[in-house]
Amino acid sequence: MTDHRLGVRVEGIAKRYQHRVKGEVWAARDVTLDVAPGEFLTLLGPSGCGKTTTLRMVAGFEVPDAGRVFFGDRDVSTLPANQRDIGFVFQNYALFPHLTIFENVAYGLRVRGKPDAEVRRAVTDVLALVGLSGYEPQFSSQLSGGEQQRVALARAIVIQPGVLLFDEPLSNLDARLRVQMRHEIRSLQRRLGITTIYVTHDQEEAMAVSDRIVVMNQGRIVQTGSAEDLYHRPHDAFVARFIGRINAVEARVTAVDGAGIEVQVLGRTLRLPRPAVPPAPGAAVQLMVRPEALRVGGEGAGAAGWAAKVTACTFLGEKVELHLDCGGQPLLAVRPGGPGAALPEGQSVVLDVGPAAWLLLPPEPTA
Amino acid sequence: MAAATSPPGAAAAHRDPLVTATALVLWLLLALFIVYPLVMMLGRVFVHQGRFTVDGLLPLLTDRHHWQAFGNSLMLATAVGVVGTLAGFVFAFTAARSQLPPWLQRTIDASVLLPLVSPPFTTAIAIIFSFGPRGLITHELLGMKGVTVYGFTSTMLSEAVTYFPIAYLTLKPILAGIDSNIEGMALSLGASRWRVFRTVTLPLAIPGLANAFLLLFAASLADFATPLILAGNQYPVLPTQAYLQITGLFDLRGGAALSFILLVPALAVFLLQRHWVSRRHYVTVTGKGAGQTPFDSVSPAVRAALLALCLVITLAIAYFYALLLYASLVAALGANHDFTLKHYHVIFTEGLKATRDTLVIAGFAMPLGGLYGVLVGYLVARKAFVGRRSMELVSMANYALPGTIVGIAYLIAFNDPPIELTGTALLIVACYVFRYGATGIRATVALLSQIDKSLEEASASLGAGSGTTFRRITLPLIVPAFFAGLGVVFIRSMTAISATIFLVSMSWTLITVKILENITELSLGPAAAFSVLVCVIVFIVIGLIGRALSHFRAPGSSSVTNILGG
Repeated sequence: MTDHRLGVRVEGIAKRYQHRVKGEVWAARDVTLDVAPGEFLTLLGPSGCGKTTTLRMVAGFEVPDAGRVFFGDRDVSTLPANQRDIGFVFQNYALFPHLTIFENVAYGLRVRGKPDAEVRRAVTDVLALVGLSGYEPQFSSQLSGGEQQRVALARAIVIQPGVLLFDEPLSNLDARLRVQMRHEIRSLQRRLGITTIYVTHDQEEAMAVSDRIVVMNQGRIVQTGSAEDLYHRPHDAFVARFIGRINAVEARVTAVDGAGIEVQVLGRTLRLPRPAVPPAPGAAVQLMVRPEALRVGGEGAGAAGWAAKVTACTFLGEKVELHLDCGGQPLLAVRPGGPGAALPEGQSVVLDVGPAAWLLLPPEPTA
Repeated sequence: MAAATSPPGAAAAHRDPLVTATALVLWLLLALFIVYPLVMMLGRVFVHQGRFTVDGLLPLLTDRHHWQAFGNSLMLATAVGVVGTLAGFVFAFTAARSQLPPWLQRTIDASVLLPLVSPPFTTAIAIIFSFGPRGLITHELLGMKGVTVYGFTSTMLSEAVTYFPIAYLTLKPILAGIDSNIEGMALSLGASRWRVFRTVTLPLAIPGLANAFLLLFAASLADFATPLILAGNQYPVLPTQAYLQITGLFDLRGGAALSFILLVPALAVFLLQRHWVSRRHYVTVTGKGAGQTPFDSVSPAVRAALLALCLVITLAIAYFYALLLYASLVAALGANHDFTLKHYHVIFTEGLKATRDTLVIAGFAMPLGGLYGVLVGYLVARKAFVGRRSMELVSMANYALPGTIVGIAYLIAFNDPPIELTGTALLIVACYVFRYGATGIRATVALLSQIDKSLEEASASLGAGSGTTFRRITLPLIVPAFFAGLGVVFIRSMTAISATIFLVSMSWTLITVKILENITELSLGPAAAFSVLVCVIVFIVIGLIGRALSHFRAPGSSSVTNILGG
C-alpha cells in the first residue's frame, strides 16, 4: 500500500527534566535506535523507564536535549510533529469529541488539502479495514473502548504515514480485547508495511506484536533483540526478570579454568561454560533458571537431582505451576497440564536442570 | 532554548512563529493597556519634576479625613465580607444538602443571580425607594418622617445583597463536592448531626469560606457606585474620595495618591487569595459521586429554617426589582402613583445618546474581549514561550484592581501625548476588554485543564500546524469559555461605572453615568427606567448566550452561570 517505507534512526537522544523531589532526572539517556523500513519495533520497560519520552521525541512532541532523529536520510530533529509525516496512536485515543467518526478520520486528509471525493473514498476504505463501516456519523462518546481504539488506528493510518507510532494503545482495554486488538494491529502492520514503533509495559504484548524488542530501564536501553533472544539470552538480571518469570538462586564459585567454571548451588556442584568476564573463585553469584527448565521427577527418579517438596500447586489448564521448597530455597516450576501433572501439597520430588538452562548473569545495576 | 522556558510537566513545543507572533502582539497590548497606565499612575504619585518623592503622598497620609476614609473602607469591606459570606453559605448549604425540588432551586438561583448582572445602583435605588425620606416602607407603611437612609448600614446592606451571590457561587461547588459519605461515616460513628456539621462539614468548607470572604471584601473595597449614592457625606470611603478629588477638585495627583492607598489592601487581598487560599482546597472535583444519594444530613426543622431564610432573602431581592420596575412606571414614587411611560420616554430623547453609545461600545468590546480572553487563556495554558507566567499575572491585574484605580490610571496615562486617547470610544472599549476579558481567560484556562493535551498532539501528528489545530480542535472545544468571556464583557460594558466614569466625555458617554446623573439630580424615575432597560438588555443577551452555548456544548464544558459570577 505504501511505497515510501522509511527507516528510523535515533542517534543518542537524551532528555532531562526537573523532578520536585529527586532533582534532575534523565528521562532518556543516550538512546540509539535503528529501525529497518517496514519493521515493527517495540520499546518495552517498566513505567518511568523512558520509553514514552523516547517515542514522543521521535514524534516531535518533545525536544531532545541532545541527539538526532532521522526518518530515512532526512534529519527531522528540528521539525515539529506536524511536519514529520507520522501517524500516532495515543493511550487515551485522543479522538476529537466535537467531530464525527468520519471527520475524525478525515482530519489528516483535510489538513493535507485532499479533494472531497478522495477523502470520502479513503475514509470509507480505512473504516472498512478496521471493521467500523457504518460508524461514520457517530461521535466518539457513543463508541466502546475497543471501537474508539479502532478509530484512533484508522485515523493514524489513513494518511499513509512514513512512520507509525503507538503509545501504550491497549492499556485501557480489558484483557480479552487487548489480546484480540494486538493481533489486529500486528496483521494490519504486516499488510501495510509501515515502519512502526510501539511502546508498552506489557512484555507479553511486546512479544506478540514485535519483530524486535528494545528493553529500557532508567532511561537507557538495556538490550535489543527478538522475543526469543530476550527470553533465552538476557544480557542481565533485569531483562531476565522483566521478560517472563525466572528463578534466582544464590551460588558460590569454587573453581575457574580455561574451559568453564564450577559453582556450588543448593548443595551440589555444577560445571558451567566460562562467561566472558569470569568471576573470581570464592565469589558469590546469582544463577537463574526459567520455570519450565526445571524438570520435576517423582521420588527416586534420579540421584542426580535436587530433592524438593511441593508447597503449592496451581492447575491452569494447559499448564501446571508448582511452587517448591528446595532446602529452604523457594522455586517455581511449570510443566504441561497433562493428566497427573498436578501434585499434592507436601509431595517430595526430585528436580533436574540441564546445564545449558542455567544463566549466569551480571547483577542488576543499582540505580 | 525552548526547553528552558517550557512549563513543568508540559511538552516543550518546537519554536512556532505563529505562537511567538501572537504572544508578541498580546504583550504589546498588555504593556500598553495594563502596565503602562499603572506605571504612569505610580509615576504621578511618586515622581515630581523628574525626581522620586513622597511629597505627593505625605499630605494625604497626614490628612485625618483620608485616614477616616481608609478605615471606613476596610470596615465596610469587612462587614460586607462577613454578612455576605454568611448569606452565601446559607444558600449554598441549602442547595447542597436539603434536596430542594429542581424548580425551586432554579428559581432561587435565578433571582440570586439578578444583582450580579444588574447595574451597580439597582439595589441602592430600591433601598432609597423603600427606606428613604419618602420611602415606601418607612414613609408610606410606617408613617415615619424625616428618616435618613444614607450611611453605613444601608451601604453595607446594599453591597451585601449585591455581592453575596459571589459567595454562593464560590461555596456551592465546594459544599456539593464534599463527599456525603464522609458525613455519613461520621454519623455512623455515633456523632449527632450538629456535631457532624461542626466537626466535619464546616472544617472542610473553611478554605471556601475564606475565599468567599476575600472575594466579597475585594468587591466591597472596589465598589464605587453604592457608597456614592448611599454612604454620602456620612461615611466617606476611598473610591468615592478619589473620585471627588478628581472631578470636584481637579486634583489628578491627589486622586492618584488616594487610589494608591486603596491599592495596598486590594493587592494584599489579591495575593492572599492567590497564594494562600487557592492552595488550601480539600475538595477535589473527581466527577465521581455525582449520582450518589446524599444522606439525610439535615433534620427537617433545620431544613425548614434554612429554606425559610433563603426564601426571605430571595423575596427581598424580588421585591427590590419589582419596586424598581414599579417606580419606572409611575410618575413619582411616594408622591404620585399614576401610571406613566414618561420615564421611558427619556431614554429615547435626552438619554438616547447614552443608550446608543453604550450599545456601540459594548458591541465592540464584546467580540474583542471574548477573543482576547480565549487567546491569552490558550497561550498561557498550552504554549511555552518567554514570559508565560508573567503574562498570566499581568492579564489579571486590571481585573483584580478596583475600578477606580484602573480608571484613574487610564485617565493619567492617556490624557496627554504620546498616547492621547481620553474621551474616545476606543479607550472605553480597551478598558472593558482588558479589565473584564480576564474572566474569559480564567474560563479558558479552566476549560483547557479539562481537555487532554493529547487532542492537540493528535492534530499535530496528523499534519496540522498550530494555527489549524487551534482553529479546528481547540477553539471548538473552548467555545463555552469564549461565550462566557464575551457575555461577561458585554454585561460589564452595560453595567460598569467605577473605571469608565473617568473616561466618558462629551462625545462618548454611558447609561450607567446617565443613571448616576439622574440620581444626583434626584430624578429617580428615569434612573429606574434606565436600570430596567439595562436589566432587560442583559437578560436578553444572557438568554442568547445560553442558547448559543447549548448549541456548541462540548463534553466537559462547565456551566456558564458560574463563570458569569466570577
